Amino acid sequence: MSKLTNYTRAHPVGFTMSLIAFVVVALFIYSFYGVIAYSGKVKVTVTVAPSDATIYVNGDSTNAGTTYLRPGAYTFLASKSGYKDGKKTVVIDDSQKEIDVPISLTPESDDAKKEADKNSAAYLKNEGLAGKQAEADGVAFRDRNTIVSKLPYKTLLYTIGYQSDTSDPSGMSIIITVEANEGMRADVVAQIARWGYDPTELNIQFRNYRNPFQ
Amino acid sequence: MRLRYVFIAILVFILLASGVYYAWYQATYHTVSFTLKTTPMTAKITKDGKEVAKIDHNTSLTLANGSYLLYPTATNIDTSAIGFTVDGKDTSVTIDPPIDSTTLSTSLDTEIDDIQAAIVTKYPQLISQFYVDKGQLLRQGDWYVSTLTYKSSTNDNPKDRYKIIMQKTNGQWAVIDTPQITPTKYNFPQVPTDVIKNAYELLPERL
Repeated sequence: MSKLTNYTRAHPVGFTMSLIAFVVVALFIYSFYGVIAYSGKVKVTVTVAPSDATIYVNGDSTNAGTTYLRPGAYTFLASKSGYKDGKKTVVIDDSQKEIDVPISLTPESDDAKKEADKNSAAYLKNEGLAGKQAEADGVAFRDRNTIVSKLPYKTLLYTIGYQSDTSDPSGMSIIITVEANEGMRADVVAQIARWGYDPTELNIQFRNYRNPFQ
Repeated sequence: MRLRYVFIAILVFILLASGVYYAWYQATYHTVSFTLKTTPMTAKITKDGKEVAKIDHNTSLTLANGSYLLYPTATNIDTSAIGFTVDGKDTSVTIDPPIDSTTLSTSLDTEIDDIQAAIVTKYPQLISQFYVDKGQLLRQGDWYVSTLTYKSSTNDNPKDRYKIIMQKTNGQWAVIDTPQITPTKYNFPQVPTDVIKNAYELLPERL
Protein backbone atom coordinates (compact mmCIF):
# COMPACT_ATOMS: atom_id res chain seq x y z
CA MET A 1 0.00 0.00 0.00
CA SER A 2 1.37 3.37 -0.89
CA LYS A 3 2.43 6.02 1.62
CA LEU A 4 -0.29 8.39 0.28
CA THR A 5 -3.06 5.84 0.93
CA ASN A 6 -1.71 5.21 4.44
CA TYR A 7 -1.62 8.95 5.12
CA THR A 8 -5.13 9.45 3.70
CA ARG A 9 -6.52 6.76 6.00
CA ALA A 10 -4.64 7.94 9.04
CA HIS A 11 -5.32 11.68 8.57
CA PRO A 12 -8.58 12.06 6.61
CA VAL A 13 -9.23 15.64 7.84
CA GLY A 14 -5.68 16.76 7.13
CA PHE A 15 -5.72 15.27 3.64
CA THR A 16 -9.06 16.91 2.78
CA MET A 17 -7.94 20.30 4.07
CA SER A 18 -4.63 20.09 2.22
CA LEU A 19 -6.48 19.17 -0.96
CA ILE A 20 -8.93 22.06 -0.57
CA ALA A 21 -6.06 24.47 0.19
CA PHE A 22 -4.20 23.25 -2.88
CA VAL A 23 -7.24 23.65 -5.14
CA VAL A 24 -8.01 27.14 -3.74
CA VAL A 25 -4.40 28.30 -4.17
CA ALA A 26 -4.26 26.84 -7.71
CA LEU A 27 -7.53 28.55 -8.66
CA PHE A 28 -6.31 31.84 -7.20
CA ILE A 29 -3.01 31.67 -9.10
CA TYR A 30 -4.83 30.70 -12.32
CA SER A 31 -7.29 33.62 -11.97
CA PHE A 32 -4.50 36.06 -11.13
CA TYR A 33 -2.50 34.86 -14.14
CA GLY A 34 -5.59 35.25 -16.34
CA VAL A 35 -6.13 38.84 -15.19
CA ILE A 36 -2.51 39.77 -15.91
CA ALA A 37 -2.06 37.76 -19.14
CA TYR A 38 -5.25 39.01 -20.85
CA SER A 39 -5.35 42.52 -19.40
CA GLY A 40 -5.63 45.13 -22.19
CA LYS A 41 -6.01 42.47 -24.88
CA VAL A 42 -8.93 41.65 -27.17
CA LYS A 43 -10.16 38.12 -27.84
CA VAL A 44 -9.62 37.30 -31.52
CA THR A 45 -11.04 34.12 -33.05
CA VAL A 46 -9.46 33.13 -36.35
CA THR A 47 -11.33 30.56 -38.46
CA VAL A 48 -10.01 29.46 -41.78
CA ALA A 49 -11.40 27.25 -44.54
CA PRO A 50 -9.80 24.84 -45.31
CA SER A 51 -8.93 24.29 -41.66
CA ASP A 52 -5.38 22.99 -42.33
CA ALA A 53 -4.21 26.18 -44.06
CA THR A 54 -1.16 27.90 -42.58
CA ILE A 55 -1.94 31.19 -40.84
CA TYR A 56 0.35 34.17 -40.29
CA VAL A 57 -0.35 37.22 -38.12
CA ASN A 58 1.84 40.16 -39.12
CA GLY A 59 4.23 37.61 -40.66
CA ASP A 60 4.40 35.30 -37.63
CA SER A 61 3.04 31.79 -37.96
CA THR A 62 0.06 30.98 -35.71
CA ASN A 63 -2.80 28.51 -35.35
CA ALA A 64 -6.50 28.90 -36.03
CA GLY A 65 -8.65 29.38 -32.95
CA THR A 66 -8.68 31.94 -30.20
CA THR A 67 -5.84 34.29 -29.42
CA TYR A 68 -5.56 37.51 -27.41
CA LEU A 69 -4.09 40.59 -29.08
CA ARG A 70 -3.36 44.12 -27.94
CA PRO A 71 -5.06 47.00 -29.82
CA GLY A 72 -3.36 47.75 -33.12
CA ALA A 73 -3.37 46.85 -36.81
CA TYR A 74 -2.92 43.20 -37.74
CA THR A 75 -2.68 41.49 -41.10
CA PHE A 76 -3.91 37.88 -41.12
CA LEU A 77 -2.66 35.79 -44.02
CA ALA A 78 -3.79 32.21 -44.71
CA SER A 79 -2.24 30.03 -47.38
CA LYS A 80 -2.35 26.49 -48.65
CA SER A 81 -1.00 24.86 -51.78
CA GLY A 82 -3.61 24.86 -54.57
CA TYR A 83 -5.50 27.82 -53.05
CA LYS A 84 -5.24 31.57 -53.57
CA ASP A 85 -3.87 33.23 -50.41
CA GLY A 86 -6.49 34.84 -48.16
CA LYS A 87 -5.58 38.13 -46.51
CA LYS A 88 -7.48 40.27 -44.02
CA THR A 89 -6.33 43.44 -42.25
CA VAL A 90 -8.03 44.13 -38.95
CA VAL A 91 -7.61 47.16 -36.70
CA ILE A 92 -8.35 46.27 -33.09
CA ASP A 93 -9.21 49.06 -30.68
CA ASP A 94 -9.85 49.23 -26.93
CA SER A 95 -13.61 49.42 -27.35
CA GLN A 96 -13.89 45.93 -28.87
CA LYS A 97 -14.42 42.97 -26.55
CA GLU A 98 -13.98 40.24 -29.14
CA ILE A 99 -13.60 39.97 -32.85
CA ASP A 100 -13.97 37.19 -35.44
CA VAL A 101 -11.55 36.88 -38.34
CA PRO A 102 -12.99 34.39 -40.82
CA ILE A 103 -10.79 33.69 -43.86
CA SER A 104 -11.96 31.50 -46.73
CA LEU A 105 -9.36 30.51 -49.33
CA THR A 106 -10.43 30.34 -52.97
CA PRO A 107 -9.50 26.97 -54.52
CA GLU A 108 -7.51 27.20 -57.76
CA SER A 109 -6.28 23.66 -58.56
CA ASP A 110 -8.68 20.81 -59.40
CA ASP A 111 -7.74 18.94 -56.23
CA ALA A 112 -8.33 22.05 -54.16
CA LYS A 113 -11.73 22.56 -55.81
CA LYS A 114 -12.74 19.00 -54.95
CA GLU A 115 -11.51 19.46 -51.39
CA ALA A 116 -13.41 22.76 -51.08
CA ASP A 117 -16.62 21.03 -52.24
CA LYS A 118 -16.19 18.47 -49.48
CA ASN A 119 -15.56 21.31 -46.98
CA SER A 120 -18.61 23.31 -48.04
CA ALA A 121 -19.94 23.31 -44.45
CA ALA A 122 -16.77 25.02 -43.20
CA TYR A 123 -17.00 27.62 -46.00
CA LEU A 124 -20.66 28.24 -45.16
CA LYS A 125 -19.84 28.68 -41.47
CA ASN A 126 -17.10 31.19 -42.36
CA GLU A 127 -19.52 33.19 -44.53
CA GLY A 128 -21.93 33.34 -41.59
CA LEU A 129 -19.17 34.58 -39.31
CA ALA A 130 -18.11 37.18 -41.90
CA GLY A 131 -21.71 38.44 -42.09
CA LYS A 132 -21.93 38.61 -38.30
CA GLN A 133 -18.64 40.52 -38.12
CA ALA A 134 -19.76 42.96 -40.83
CA GLU A 135 -22.93 43.62 -38.84
CA ALA A 136 -20.87 44.19 -35.66
CA ASP A 137 -18.55 46.54 -37.61
CA GLY A 138 -21.62 48.47 -38.82
CA VAL A 139 -22.89 48.89 -35.25
CA ALA A 140 -19.40 49.96 -34.08
CA PHE A 141 -19.18 52.46 -36.98
CA ARG A 142 -22.53 54.05 -36.11
CA ASP A 143 -21.65 54.12 -32.39
CA ARG A 144 -18.37 55.88 -33.14
CA ASN A 145 -19.84 58.30 -35.70
CA THR A 146 -23.29 59.06 -34.30
CA ILE A 147 -23.48 62.18 -36.49
CA VAL A 148 -24.12 59.93 -39.54
CA SER A 149 -27.69 59.46 -38.28
CA LYS A 150 -28.24 63.16 -39.18
CA LEU A 151 -26.65 62.91 -42.60
CA PRO A 152 -27.01 63.71 -45.39
CA TYR A 153 -28.63 67.01 -44.42
CA LYS A 154 -29.82 69.10 -47.34
CA THR A 155 -31.39 72.53 -47.52
CA LEU A 156 -31.89 74.84 -50.47
CA LEU A 157 -28.65 76.61 -49.57
CA TYR A 158 -26.28 73.88 -48.44
CA THR A 159 -25.62 70.16 -48.00
CA ILE A 160 -23.82 68.38 -45.18
CA GLY A 161 -22.73 64.82 -45.93
CA TYR A 162 -19.97 62.39 -45.07
CA GLN A 163 -17.54 60.01 -46.66
CA SER A 164 -15.19 57.34 -45.36
CA ASP A 165 -11.74 58.58 -44.34
CA THR A 166 -9.52 56.32 -46.42
CA SER A 167 -6.44 57.31 -44.42
CA ASP A 168 -7.79 55.23 -41.50
CA PRO A 169 -7.26 51.51 -42.27
CA SER A 170 -9.93 50.50 -39.74
CA GLY A 171 -12.60 52.11 -41.97
CA MET A 172 -14.17 53.58 -38.83
CA SER A 173 -13.34 57.25 -39.46
CA ILE A 174 -15.32 59.71 -41.55
CA ILE A 175 -14.86 63.07 -43.20
CA ILE A 176 -17.77 65.51 -42.92
CA THR A 177 -18.34 67.16 -46.28
CA VAL A 178 -19.93 70.60 -46.55
CA GLU A 179 -21.18 72.10 -49.78
CA ALA A 180 -22.16 75.73 -49.40
CA ASN A 181 -21.68 79.10 -51.02
CA GLU A 182 -18.90 81.53 -50.15
CA GLY A 183 -19.69 83.37 -46.93
CA MET A 184 -22.04 80.64 -45.64
CA ARG A 185 -19.60 77.90 -44.75
CA ALA A 186 -19.06 78.88 -41.11
CA ASP A 187 -22.85 79.10 -40.65
CA VAL A 188 -23.19 75.54 -41.94
CA VAL A 189 -20.60 74.35 -39.45
CA ALA A 190 -22.60 76.14 -36.74
CA GLN A 191 -25.51 73.85 -37.69
CA ILE A 192 -23.31 70.87 -36.80
CA ALA A 193 -22.61 72.51 -33.42
CA ARG A 194 -26.38 73.02 -32.91
CA TRP A 195 -26.83 69.26 -33.26
CA GLY A 196 -24.56 68.94 -30.24
CA TYR A 197 -21.31 67.97 -31.95
CA ASP A 198 -18.05 69.80 -31.40
CA PRO A 199 -16.87 70.87 -34.89
CA THR A 200 -13.26 71.17 -33.67
CA GLU A 201 -13.26 67.40 -33.09
CA LEU A 202 -14.52 66.60 -36.60
CA ASN A 203 -12.66 66.23 -39.87
CA ILE A 204 -14.55 68.77 -41.99
CA GLN A 205 -13.90 69.39 -45.67
CA PHE A 206 -15.58 71.96 -47.89
CA ARG A 207 -16.57 71.05 -51.45
CA ASN A 208 -15.87 73.39 -54.40
CA TYR A 209 -13.58 75.43 -52.20
CA ARG A 210 -10.01 76.62 -52.24
CA ASN A 211 -8.32 78.06 -49.16
CA PRO A 212 -6.72 81.39 -50.26
CA PHE A 213 -3.95 80.96 -47.67
CA GLN A 214 -2.79 77.63 -49.15
CA MET B 1 -2.78 17.35 15.50
CA ARG B 2 -6.05 19.12 14.61
CA LEU B 3 -4.53 22.39 15.81
CA ARG B 4 -1.86 21.98 13.15
CA TYR B 5 -4.49 21.80 10.40
CA VAL B 6 -6.26 24.85 11.74
CA PHE B 7 -2.91 26.64 11.71
CA ILE B 8 -2.29 25.59 8.10
CA ALA B 9 -5.77 26.74 7.12
CA ILE B 10 -5.24 30.13 8.79
CA LEU B 11 -1.86 30.47 7.10
CA VAL B 12 -3.35 29.70 3.69
CA PHE B 13 -6.16 32.17 4.36
CA ILE B 14 -3.68 34.90 5.37
CA LEU B 15 -1.59 34.24 2.26
CA LEU B 16 -4.63 34.41 0.00
CA ALA B 17 -5.99 37.52 1.73
CA SER B 18 -2.57 39.20 1.41
CA GLY B 19 -2.47 38.32 -2.29
CA VAL B 20 -5.97 39.64 -2.88
CA TYR B 21 -5.19 42.84 -0.94
CA TYR B 22 -1.93 43.32 -2.88
CA ALA B 23 -3.71 42.84 -6.23
CA TRP B 24 -6.53 45.18 -5.17
CA TYR B 25 -4.05 47.84 -3.98
CA GLN B 26 -2.02 47.59 -7.18
CA ALA B 27 -5.18 47.96 -9.28
CA THR B 28 -6.66 50.80 -7.21
CA TYR B 29 -3.79 53.08 -6.10
CA HIS B 30 -1.30 54.72 -8.42
CA THR B 31 1.53 57.23 -8.22
CA VAL B 32 0.73 60.64 -9.66
CA SER B 33 3.66 62.98 -10.26
CA PHE B 34 2.84 66.69 -10.15
CA THR B 35 4.94 69.35 -11.88
CA LEU B 36 4.18 72.97 -11.00
CA LYS B 37 5.13 75.24 -13.89
CA THR B 38 4.38 78.46 -12.02
CA THR B 39 6.21 79.22 -8.79
CA PRO B 40 5.30 80.12 -6.14
CA MET B 41 2.00 78.27 -6.46
CA THR B 42 -0.17 76.17 -4.20
CA ALA B 43 -2.73 73.69 -5.48
CA LYS B 44 -5.60 72.06 -3.62
CA ILE B 45 -6.59 68.61 -4.90
CA THR B 46 -10.16 67.47 -4.35
CA LYS B 47 -12.17 64.35 -5.09
CA ASP B 48 -15.98 64.36 -4.90
CA GLY B 49 -15.79 67.83 -3.31
CA LYS B 50 -13.49 66.71 -0.47
CA GLU B 51 -9.91 67.92 -0.15
CA VAL B 52 -7.43 65.09 -0.70
CA ALA B 53 -4.13 66.95 -0.56
CA LYS B 54 -2.45 70.32 -0.92
CA ILE B 55 0.84 70.75 -2.75
CA ASP B 56 3.22 73.67 -3.21
CA HIS B 57 6.16 72.08 -5.00
CA ASN B 58 6.89 69.30 -7.51
CA THR B 59 5.92 66.09 -5.78
CA SER B 60 4.34 62.64 -6.15
CA LEU B 61 1.20 61.40 -4.42
CA THR B 62 -0.41 57.97 -4.21
CA LEU B 63 -4.02 58.40 -5.30
CA ALA B 64 -6.92 56.01 -5.86
CA ASN B 65 -8.54 55.63 -9.28
CA GLY B 66 -11.05 58.38 -10.00
CA SER B 67 -11.59 61.94 -11.20
CA TYR B 68 -9.96 64.81 -9.35
CA LEU B 69 -10.10 68.59 -9.49
CA LEU B 70 -7.06 70.73 -8.79
CA TYR B 71 -7.45 74.39 -7.76
CA PRO B 72 -4.25 76.39 -8.35
CA THR B 73 -3.49 79.61 -6.51
CA ALA B 74 -0.76 82.07 -7.59
CA THR B 75 -0.34 85.64 -8.76
CA ASN B 76 -1.94 86.60 -12.12
CA ILE B 77 -3.16 83.11 -13.01
CA ASP B 78 -6.56 81.78 -13.97
CA THR B 79 -7.64 79.90 -10.84
CA SER B 80 -10.25 77.75 -12.60
CA ALA B 81 -10.21 74.10 -11.59
CA ILE B 82 -8.04 71.76 -13.63
CA GLY B 83 -9.36 68.21 -13.95
CA PHE B 84 -7.32 65.03 -14.11
CA THR B 85 -8.11 61.35 -13.91
CA VAL B 86 -6.29 58.43 -12.35
CA ASP B 87 -7.27 55.42 -14.41
CA GLY B 88 -5.45 52.19 -13.73
CA LYS B 89 -1.83 53.32 -14.09
CA ASP B 90 0.80 55.75 -12.79
CA THR B 91 0.48 59.15 -14.39
CA SER B 92 1.96 62.63 -14.38
CA VAL B 93 0.14 65.95 -14.18
CA THR B 94 1.71 69.20 -15.28
CA ILE B 95 0.06 72.20 -13.65
CA ASP B 96 0.50 75.10 -16.02
CA PRO B 97 -2.54 77.30 -15.43
CA PRO B 98 -3.18 80.03 -18.00
CA ILE B 99 -2.54 83.64 -17.11
CA ASP B 100 -5.74 85.45 -16.13
CA SER B 101 -7.63 87.27 -18.87
CA THR B 102 -6.94 90.78 -17.51
CA THR B 103 -3.17 90.23 -17.56
CA LEU B 104 -3.36 88.61 -21.02
CA SER B 105 -5.37 91.55 -22.35
CA THR B 106 -2.73 93.98 -21.06
CA SER B 107 0.06 91.85 -22.59
CA LEU B 108 -1.74 91.83 -25.95
CA ASP B 109 -1.45 95.61 -26.15
CA THR B 110 2.33 95.30 -26.07
CA GLU B 111 2.46 92.25 -28.38
CA ILE B 112 -0.05 93.26 -31.07
CA ASP B 113 2.43 95.14 -33.27
CA ASP B 114 4.83 92.17 -33.38
CA ILE B 115 1.91 89.83 -34.10
CA GLN B 116 0.58 91.96 -36.96
CA ALA B 117 4.08 92.28 -38.40
CA ALA B 118 4.52 88.48 -38.33
CA ILE B 119 1.22 88.02 -40.20
CA VAL B 120 2.23 90.54 -42.85
CA THR B 121 5.61 88.80 -43.24
CA LYS B 122 3.88 85.43 -43.71
CA TYR B 123 1.22 86.66 -46.19
CA PRO B 124 2.67 89.89 -47.67
CA GLN B 125 0.27 90.12 -50.64
CA LEU B 126 -2.84 88.37 -49.44
CA ILE B 127 -3.22 90.00 -46.04
CA SER B 128 -3.94 93.40 -47.58
CA GLN B 129 -7.33 91.96 -48.60
CA PHE B 130 -8.23 91.25 -44.95
CA TYR B 131 -9.02 93.04 -41.73
CA VAL B 132 -7.11 91.40 -38.89
CA ASP B 133 -9.04 91.55 -35.62
CA LYS B 134 -7.22 92.39 -32.40
CA GLY B 135 -7.74 88.77 -31.28
CA GLN B 136 -6.80 87.13 -27.99
CA LEU B 137 -3.72 85.89 -26.22
CA LEU B 138 -4.14 82.48 -24.58
CA ARG B 139 -2.45 80.23 -22.05
CA GLN B 140 0.81 81.83 -20.85
CA GLY B 141 0.51 84.55 -23.47
CA ASP B 142 2.39 82.34 -25.93
CA TRP B 143 -0.64 81.51 -28.13
CA TYR B 144 -2.70 83.97 -30.15
CA VAL B 145 -5.96 83.52 -32.05
CA SER B 146 -7.74 86.00 -34.28
CA THR B 147 -10.23 86.40 -37.10
CA LEU B 148 -9.42 87.50 -40.64
CA THR B 149 -12.30 89.17 -42.48
CA TYR B 150 -12.31 90.04 -46.20
CA LYS B 151 -12.41 93.81 -46.64
CA SER B 152 -14.63 93.27 -49.69
CA SER B 153 -17.24 91.24 -47.75
CA THR B 154 -20.68 92.87 -47.69
CA ASN B 155 -24.17 91.74 -46.74
CA ASP B 156 -25.02 91.30 -50.42
CA ASN B 157 -21.74 89.59 -51.22
CA PRO B 158 -20.61 87.81 -48.02
CA LYS B 159 -17.23 86.14 -47.90
CA ASP B 160 -15.80 83.53 -45.55
CA ARG B 161 -13.99 84.57 -42.39
CA TYR B 162 -10.80 82.78 -41.39
CA LYS B 163 -9.34 81.91 -38.01
CA ILE B 164 -5.59 82.35 -37.60
CA ILE B 165 -3.51 80.74 -34.84
CA MET B 166 -0.02 81.91 -33.86
CA GLN B 167 2.58 80.87 -31.33
CA LYS B 168 5.42 82.78 -29.73
CA THR B 169 8.61 80.74 -29.60
CA ASN B 170 11.97 82.16 -28.52
CA GLY B 171 10.48 85.66 -28.52
CA GLN B 172 9.23 85.37 -32.13
CA TRP B 173 5.61 85.13 -33.27
CA ALA B 174 4.86 82.66 -36.07
CA VAL B 175 1.70 81.56 -37.87
CA ILE B 176 0.96 77.90 -37.08
CA ASP B 177 -0.53 75.77 -39.87
CA THR B 178 -2.86 77.55 -42.34
CA PRO B 179 -5.75 79.90 -41.45
CA GLN B 180 -9.06 78.03 -41.75
CA ILE B 181 -12.79 78.80 -41.80
CA THR B 182 -13.31 76.15 -39.12
CA PRO B 183 -10.29 75.31 -36.98
CA THR B 184 -10.28 71.62 -36.03
CA LYS B 185 -7.77 69.19 -34.61
CA TYR B 186 -7.37 67.85 -38.15
CA ASN B 187 -6.40 71.11 -39.88
CA PHE B 188 -4.42 72.41 -36.88
CA PRO B 189 -2.59 69.23 -35.84
CA GLN B 190 0.21 71.17 -34.12
CA VAL B 191 -2.08 73.19 -31.88
CA PRO B 192 -3.40 72.22 -28.40
CA THR B 193 -7.13 71.46 -28.43
CA ASP B 194 -8.02 74.21 -25.93
CA VAL B 195 -6.42 76.79 -28.23
CA ILE B 196 -8.34 75.38 -31.23
CA LYS B 197 -11.62 75.57 -29.32
CA ASN B 198 -10.89 79.18 -28.33
CA ALA B 199 -10.17 80.02 -31.96
CA TYR B 200 -13.43 78.37 -33.08
CA GLU B 201 -15.50 80.18 -30.45
CA LEU B 202 -13.83 83.56 -31.02
CA LEU B 203 -16.42 85.98 -32.33
CA PRO B 204 -15.37 88.39 -35.09
CA GLU B 205 -15.02 92.01 -33.98
CA ARG B 206 -16.48 93.21 -37.28
CA LEU B 207 -20.06 91.87 -37.52
